Amino acid sequence: MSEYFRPLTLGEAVNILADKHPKLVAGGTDMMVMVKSGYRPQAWMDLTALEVLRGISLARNELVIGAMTLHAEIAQDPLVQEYARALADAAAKVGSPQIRNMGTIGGNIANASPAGDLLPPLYALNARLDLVSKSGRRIVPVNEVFTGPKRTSIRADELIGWIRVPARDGLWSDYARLGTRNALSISKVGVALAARVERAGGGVARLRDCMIALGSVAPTVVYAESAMDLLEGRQLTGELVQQVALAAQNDARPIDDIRSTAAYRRAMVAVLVRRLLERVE
Amino acid sequence: MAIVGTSVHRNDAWAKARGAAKFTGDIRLPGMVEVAVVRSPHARARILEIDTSRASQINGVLGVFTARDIPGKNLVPLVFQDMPALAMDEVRYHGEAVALVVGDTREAAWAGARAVDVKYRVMDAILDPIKALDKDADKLHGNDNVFRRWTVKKGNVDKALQNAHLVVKGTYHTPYQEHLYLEPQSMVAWWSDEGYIEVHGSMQCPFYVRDAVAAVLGLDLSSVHVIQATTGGGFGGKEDVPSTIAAHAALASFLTGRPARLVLSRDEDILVTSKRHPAVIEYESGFDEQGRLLGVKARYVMDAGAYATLSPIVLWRGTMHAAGPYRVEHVDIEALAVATNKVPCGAYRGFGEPQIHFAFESQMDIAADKLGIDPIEMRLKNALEPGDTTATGQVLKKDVGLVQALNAVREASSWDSRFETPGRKQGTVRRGLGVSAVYYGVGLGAAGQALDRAGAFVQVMYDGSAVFAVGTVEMGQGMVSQLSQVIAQELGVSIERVRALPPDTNLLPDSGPTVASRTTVMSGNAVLNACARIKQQLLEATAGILNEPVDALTIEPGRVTGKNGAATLDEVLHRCFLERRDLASTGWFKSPETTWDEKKGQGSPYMTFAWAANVVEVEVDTETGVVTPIEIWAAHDVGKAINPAQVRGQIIGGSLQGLGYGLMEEIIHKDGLMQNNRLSQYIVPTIGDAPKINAIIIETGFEHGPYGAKGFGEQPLIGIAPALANAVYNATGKRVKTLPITPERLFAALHDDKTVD
Amino acid sequence: MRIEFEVNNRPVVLDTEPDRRLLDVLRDDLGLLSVKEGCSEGECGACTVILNGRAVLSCLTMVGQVQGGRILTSEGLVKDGELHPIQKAFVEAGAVQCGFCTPGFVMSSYALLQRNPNPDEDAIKQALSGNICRCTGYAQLIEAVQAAAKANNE
Repeated sequence: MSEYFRPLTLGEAVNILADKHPKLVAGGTDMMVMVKSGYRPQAWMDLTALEVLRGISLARNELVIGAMTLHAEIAQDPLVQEYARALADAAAKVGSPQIRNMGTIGGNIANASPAGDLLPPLYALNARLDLVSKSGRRIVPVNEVFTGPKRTSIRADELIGWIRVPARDGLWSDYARLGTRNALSISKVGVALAARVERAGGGVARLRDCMIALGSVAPTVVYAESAMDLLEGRQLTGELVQQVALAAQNDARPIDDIRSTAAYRRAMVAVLVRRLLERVE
Repeated sequence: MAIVGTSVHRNDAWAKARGAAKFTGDIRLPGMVEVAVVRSPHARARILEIDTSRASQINGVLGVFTARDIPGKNLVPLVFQDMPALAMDEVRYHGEAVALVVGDTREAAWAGARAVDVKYRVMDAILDPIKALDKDADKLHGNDNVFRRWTVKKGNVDKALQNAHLVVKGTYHTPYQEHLYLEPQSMVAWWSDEGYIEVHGSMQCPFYVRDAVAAVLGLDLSSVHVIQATTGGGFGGKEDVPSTIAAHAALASFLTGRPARLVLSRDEDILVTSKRHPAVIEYESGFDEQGRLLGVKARYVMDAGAYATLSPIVLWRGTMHAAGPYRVEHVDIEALAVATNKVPCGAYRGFGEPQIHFAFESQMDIAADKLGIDPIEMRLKNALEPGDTTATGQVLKKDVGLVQALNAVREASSWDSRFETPGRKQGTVRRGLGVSAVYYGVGLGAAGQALDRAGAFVQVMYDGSAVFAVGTVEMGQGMVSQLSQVIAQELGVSIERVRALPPDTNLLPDSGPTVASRTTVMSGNAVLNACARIKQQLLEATAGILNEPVDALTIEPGRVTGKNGAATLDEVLHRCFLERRDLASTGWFKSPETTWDEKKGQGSPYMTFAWAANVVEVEVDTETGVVTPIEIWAAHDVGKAINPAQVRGQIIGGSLQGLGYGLMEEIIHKDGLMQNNRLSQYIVPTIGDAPKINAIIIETGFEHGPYGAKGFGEQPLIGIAPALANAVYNATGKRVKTLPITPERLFAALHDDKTVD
Repeated sequence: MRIEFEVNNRPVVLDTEPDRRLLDVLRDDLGLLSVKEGCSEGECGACTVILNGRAVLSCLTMVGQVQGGRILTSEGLVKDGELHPIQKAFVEAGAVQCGFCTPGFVMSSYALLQRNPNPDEDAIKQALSGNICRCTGYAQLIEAVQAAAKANNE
């Protein structure tokens, strides 16, 4: 029988983490499938009661999102919708209403699925993770955390405390995905785009600091680096959009699996990147 | 006031809406144990050794049983006697049952199942039905791997095709389809040392379950008492499979002496239960210049899986319908069910018809396009009408509503003003319309005629309430409330006070399976037969009250009226009580005669047909290959709608299953191992995938049907995939001949240089 | 472990392993059999219950997580033997066929109408998109929620 801990404070939590090496339970949506098939760790640590890790605030040009904040809360939060629309969109597209009422942003990150919907927006928005342990805190860019499918560099004695998303006025972001159906679906391809939009004298837009992140098309989320380079500071003409879309396609390294094919995913990266760029306001 | 023909609320819905209906998993018995099944991880392997020692030592495990522990025959009897309850020496598909583990909790049973060590020697598996037909292929069944072969022959096809103005040839591939009833397979069995066993569970065919349990335990049929529990959907998936589930639960109970329950997990259910057969169909149709169908030649190969189960008769139905609902003089159909090392396929709503409908309705569309004829016009030119003869030689009576159905969907969808010539549309997102014509032979037909009879029991109480029981089951389709309507109509009792008892194999005669859209006709007539005797009693009693002859009396809701007066039902029932009249009766019905001459490939296989036409409208995103269904119009000739709201429910629900079949549902194997046996991976339509579906009811009146009704519950599924494929063609000019039309598949068709056609 | 919560407005105190599924506790310990197990992985919605005002999946909830929480199941909607207006609307709209998915749909509908008493068709579809029904084709479910909303507002 597994031990069970339900800390009420972060201090308590990091001590348990250091001493008992528990398996963490956030929303439970991924963990309980394993429990059903017989998985039992030495100890559980249920994070549900850590109120301090739940909620969204704006501080010093950063959105600070507690790791235990629900997808449903992120999707509907006015601050997220204003400063990180791609993240709100992605959160609204996770699973189903019930899953969004249970699943947390911290859980989505820790689970490290290549198809996790929140991850491409976090990459594109240059989010950082605030990791907490008994020995202190460290802040790590989200794109340095994932080492492979279902694998992260988060240490066993650490937990994700907060997700910090730069909140800058004039930053445009959006998320597009193709799933297996219109609800209860897992992404075949997900693309997040974030950039500052310059429109000198009402003319054709130029994108600055543009970030494009691709989900479900590589072992981890990847940036469409050549596409980002092409875009930087240039006039967003129809021709450029085409070039960028093709470049992004070549930045993807998809595989065939039960949800889709590599060829289709690659082609869809181009379509989604183009559609996102056409939506730029 | 007529009760039959009105949309009364289902009388079983009240308990279901509050969550009080008792499904098998809700049954709690003292001392009940749980069963888990050890299953093959290989497509084909020799069993070298089953070591149960580690499993037996697990806390809570009460027993581990293999084929050697079976007291009766190791057999689940069906069409052939080829499928064991537990594999003996060889496993023949991924997921085949090898051993049973009984535990005092579900967790203990499953832990035990994981701890049974089975040593296998993996063998080469036969996975492709076409390759299985090769002369030198390894043999799983007989000397050719063919479980069954059927033919339809008429006229001289080769000559007809030679002389045709246009010959259309195509090869069509259709996928597995999983029923995905929401309630997984489940059974509870309770052996009594008095020498009988009681079995409660989720099932369509209590009498099949009885036969299987009797076989494995070596009991008399009368010692196996099967009672159906509330059943959470079937769609064919609970036709033969529950026999195996019950055999396992019964063995566990018999061998441990405790009530035993087996509830499959969803993963297990998708992995091991029957599916719609995948098929490869080669089809040739010849037409004259005016679009008249001259001849049809087809070869229909079904992947039947590891054991025959129902494949021979699924194939038979497919073969009977293979020429389409059209007049055609020259026909040559050959159909084969082929053995492979994959899950045994069986019954699924439509029963061999959806595959072949996809082929001939695609053919019809291709021909219309090539001849420049409107697709609905094309079908109307060839549609079977009253008095016509089908491809098998059956002469149709007056209840043929195909032309009405085609005209109805044509008008409802504003087809004439909206249909545009295929392939001319521009833009990224394109709309398209597609049509299909459908027919469905009602009942088991000539191949199952021996089973095509049904029994009923009806009793009216002296307080005006009534109970009834029939040998067919309610599984969600609405049988109980339709039969309650019949009883209320015939006997004047209030429908709210009619209660259904569950089917019970010892109290009711073998009524055959609840399949083949046969229940309305078979059980409906059996109930009418029982009601007729009770009605006679009520009328005779009333005659005494009103002093009028019996033939002057009419039963109405709550009363019996004569020429000069009326008696309330209460008065009549009181009189019956005083006169010691019998207000309980059994009823019986045999289907009208059907014929099939196998040598000639001709006959009149069905008592009648239901008819339908569908129009599907889609929107295709040509950049992503995503097909969004916009709206469906579905017109069905049901003879007579006993409950129009429920008929609509069948049409809408069946259509959406058909849409899933056409658009997204498929089972993926790798090296013979199923890859997507989880609900997160086997994709069915959600509410977000459902278009608006318009149900249109056509009533032509079937001479042998209760009030003219005929069965049609399977029909709504059948024609949606072909109408969808035709709509995709209309929108894009690309003909997809492989289902489902996934974005990946359509994208490849739209963007590859080579055409799919 | 001692776990306390409220189910259908009644307090519950249990001594049980906290890593059991809420689904099993509701069904096996508390006899609330309206909560159905359809898939065990959060994909069918048959086990949907209301936890602290939100529709959640009891098959993916550890009972330890509901410590101090408030749970509502389909049984809790029935008052004095009378069906809840949502349950009644399901019957009257023909939204019930096999009935296995029904309690889950009722709870998702309840969660929706608590937050949004006048949902349009899109909102209804959104709210019911985590529940699978294989019988009805969904149209009657939408009609049922519309009728229940109308009845509530009258």
